[in-house]
Amino acid sequence: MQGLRYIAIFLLFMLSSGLTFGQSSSFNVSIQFLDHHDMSPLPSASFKVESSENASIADTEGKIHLNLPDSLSTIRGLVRYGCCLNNHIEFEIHSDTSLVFMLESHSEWMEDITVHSEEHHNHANVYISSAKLIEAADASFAQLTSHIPGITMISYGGQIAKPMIHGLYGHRLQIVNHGILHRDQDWGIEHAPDISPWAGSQVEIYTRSPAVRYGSSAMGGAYVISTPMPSSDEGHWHGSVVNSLYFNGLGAGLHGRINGVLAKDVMLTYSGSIQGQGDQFSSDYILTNTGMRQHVQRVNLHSQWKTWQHEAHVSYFARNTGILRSAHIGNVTDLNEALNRETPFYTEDSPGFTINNPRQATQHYTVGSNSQIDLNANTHLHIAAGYQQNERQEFDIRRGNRDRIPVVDLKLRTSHVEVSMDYNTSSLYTIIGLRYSHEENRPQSRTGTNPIIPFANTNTTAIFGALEKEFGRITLFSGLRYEHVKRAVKYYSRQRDYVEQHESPDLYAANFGLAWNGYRIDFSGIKRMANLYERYADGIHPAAAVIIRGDSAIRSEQVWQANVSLPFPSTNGWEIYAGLYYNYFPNFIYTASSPSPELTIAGAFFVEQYIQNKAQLGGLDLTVKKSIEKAHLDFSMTSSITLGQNIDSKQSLPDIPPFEINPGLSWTTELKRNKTLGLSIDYQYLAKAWFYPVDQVVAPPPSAAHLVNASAELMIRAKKFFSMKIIAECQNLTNHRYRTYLNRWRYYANEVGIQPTLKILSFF
Amino acid sequence: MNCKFLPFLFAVFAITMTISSCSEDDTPPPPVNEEELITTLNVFLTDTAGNTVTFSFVDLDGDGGNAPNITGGTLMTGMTYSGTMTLLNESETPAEDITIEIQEEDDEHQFFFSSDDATFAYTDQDGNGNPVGLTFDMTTGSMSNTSASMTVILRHEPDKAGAGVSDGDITNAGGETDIEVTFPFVLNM
Repeated sequence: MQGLRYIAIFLLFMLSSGLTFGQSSSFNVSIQFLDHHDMSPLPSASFKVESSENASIADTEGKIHLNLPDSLSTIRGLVRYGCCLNNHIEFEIHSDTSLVFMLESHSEWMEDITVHSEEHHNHANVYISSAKLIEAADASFAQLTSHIPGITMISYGGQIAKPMIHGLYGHRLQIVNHGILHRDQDWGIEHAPDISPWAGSQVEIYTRSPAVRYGSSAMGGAYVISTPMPSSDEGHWHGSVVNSLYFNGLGAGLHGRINGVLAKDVMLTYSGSIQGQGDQFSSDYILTNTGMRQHVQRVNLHSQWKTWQHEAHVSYFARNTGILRSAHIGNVTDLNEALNRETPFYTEDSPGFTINNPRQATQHYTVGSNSQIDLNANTHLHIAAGYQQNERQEFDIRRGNRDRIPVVDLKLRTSHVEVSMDYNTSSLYTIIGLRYSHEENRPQSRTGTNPIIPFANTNTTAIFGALEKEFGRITLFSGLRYEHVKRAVKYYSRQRDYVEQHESPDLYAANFGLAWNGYRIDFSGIKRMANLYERYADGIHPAAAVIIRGDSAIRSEQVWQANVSLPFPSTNGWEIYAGLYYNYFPNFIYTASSPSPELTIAGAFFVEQYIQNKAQLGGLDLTVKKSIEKAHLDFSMTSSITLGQNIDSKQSLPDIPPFEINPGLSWTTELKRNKTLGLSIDYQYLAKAWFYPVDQVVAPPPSAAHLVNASAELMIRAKKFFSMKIIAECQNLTNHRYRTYLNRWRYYANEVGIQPTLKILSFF
Repeated sequence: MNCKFLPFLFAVFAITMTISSCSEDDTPPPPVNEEELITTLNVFLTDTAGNTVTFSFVDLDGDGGNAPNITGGTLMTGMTYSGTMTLLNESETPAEDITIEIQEEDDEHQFFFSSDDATFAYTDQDGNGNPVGLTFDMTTGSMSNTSASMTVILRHEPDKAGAGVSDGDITNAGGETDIEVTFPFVLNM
């Protein structure tokens, strides 16, 4: 019945999209660029549509005129003005349109529009601009996107959180860091990706069928981090500095970025960030040992020489995170005791700043190179290579003065080389490429514990190709990727027998779809390899009071996906966007709890065993927006619902995001002396999880939560080349006491209470 | 030097790093002797006549794997037994005596005992005057019972100042459980 319901909803929306066909073949678009402060025209501003080869230069009135095919409902391009403005903008058109853009001399003022739909399959459907990243400099990677419908986060409290797209997370999402497929050792939910949003200048998020381009691990979506080449004709250096103070946790952050011309045709972008905080507090008590320290450094060198554009990059990331002391427990008895406590056992009267055990310390290094050689105006050769190293150490509460010896000590190294060639015109886009990667998992000795991940070498050879062709108003797109993997796993069993296992699965990703005037439907099929944790994990998880056990019989996981995007044409200023998705897994990999606990000398533990079942996952994302220009008000409302089911047992899948709705209102006004004031408030309703595996949870999901968040922004243009933005924001303004289903801490403690933050952003 | 080739040189360095990084080792680390593993708990109960009954819990392959072997015994009603315990890691050769670690960190550890057929009293203390439980007295009840049981719990980092904790009440102890074993025994008159 559940499956029929999914299909019925799916067909209903497909039908409704089909009823709205019927448009003209091209749009006339007039764009005028004005100075934000004195409204004077900007005659030399240039605008280059992304799929076009040539830029349009504004006339003496700051105007350009474009004739665009109506298949391009979302226009994305690059605006340049004078020395200092070099930024991407996006806007939507549904008819002949006149637009006015008011530009700042600093690109950071221009906050890019989040895209609801796009015509080209190779475009991300969510784009986070440099401006947004600067404002969110303190956020974790998961927090950065958790406000976007369909994207949430699954967490282990605090900064330990993973992004989740449409109910899929971890090794079903791929982070791409300047061309490097990010690999760390964030097995299970109790680890976060070892990367910061400050790792790049922009983030593109693909929530639909990106696996052809980014590998079978991008089954559920991809985050693509990049640093665009700075303009080579600017006469001076630009940068931004963010100073942050977090009052919950008494922390601070300092983030800086600078870019400019290092030598003729050589541009440098440097990003650095340090942040730290002590124990956070919930609405009622201190969350002992929830401090964090983080350090990020990145250098990007871009160069341009004739038809050759090149980027070399190097980065360093380090994070030391405390684990809530009360979340570190023994057996099922301890867990039951924790569940019955109103206040966690370990809490202090005042917050501490020292990070004690249990804690996680991770480091991540990358170095890489990306080249593009323009063979002719439409054909480009891309050559990329990269290396990354991840080091994860986890420290536990141990006996015998072993507190400084990690219980988990893992290293991972990968290297890759990729060659691809694309052909790109206004109506045709093709790409073909070849990629080879090598990955080494190296558990370190001297931990005094059995490694949770075995020693392994993995070699992957991939070939991929994609095609996108416009046929009048309809664009067809398709892609295919084949991966051959060879993995050798070596370890010693509990009986001290040497075991060597070899796997060589053939993996694939394929997609096909069509788009028309912003509407889009696509289908994809993907097969990914079971990860090491899913096959070989074996041991007690102290914070969950469970034994996690992999199964070497687990095979590669397949999925068949369908996505529908429905941007409803705006009437009276309303914008509505709906996205529907459905995934069918013939062999979904997840953990299921044993019905009875397993006895150890430390007491009884439930066993979470990795299994495979037929499963289905589907849902709906909704965004509604309305601008009331006369009152300077903007209303927005986002909502999403996800359903997931084990088809064999008819039970819900674990860790399915509960229903969420998030209406918000913002007001912006111009003040005197080049100042702009913005106020916003939003309400977040997190429903109690309706769909969860009833016999698989040790406690029922927490009640619904009602959160109010507010912020005030004051933008000041102090001098021609210096501007500031002051942001005072407060999450959980009412200090609401709540717990959330997708946070494992729900067993032990409440979520963080009121979180006032002050940020000062400086641009030069 | 022409600076435009700087990124290229940088890339050469990156690729060199990439190639040189591969396969520096190709053998897994040797099998681990789990340092904190407790495979064996022995409880020695000696009556006033000097007769000793031994309860034991043995799980040589640690958590998971084969089921543990639990051995109880027969006790007399109305008797006070002097109890001692040893904790061993018998996965190593020679076996490691974990009892020494507990003694060295006695302020961070406390045993708790419970049974419907006996009462318990601590006979040892840590440096702060709080009980530990490596030695204790066990006084059996007056009624025979062929299916009696005794549970031994070792808590790491309990709150020894908590209400009732020093008297052996685990309710307010907190901490985390290192050992929780229930021994069956027969109580005869």
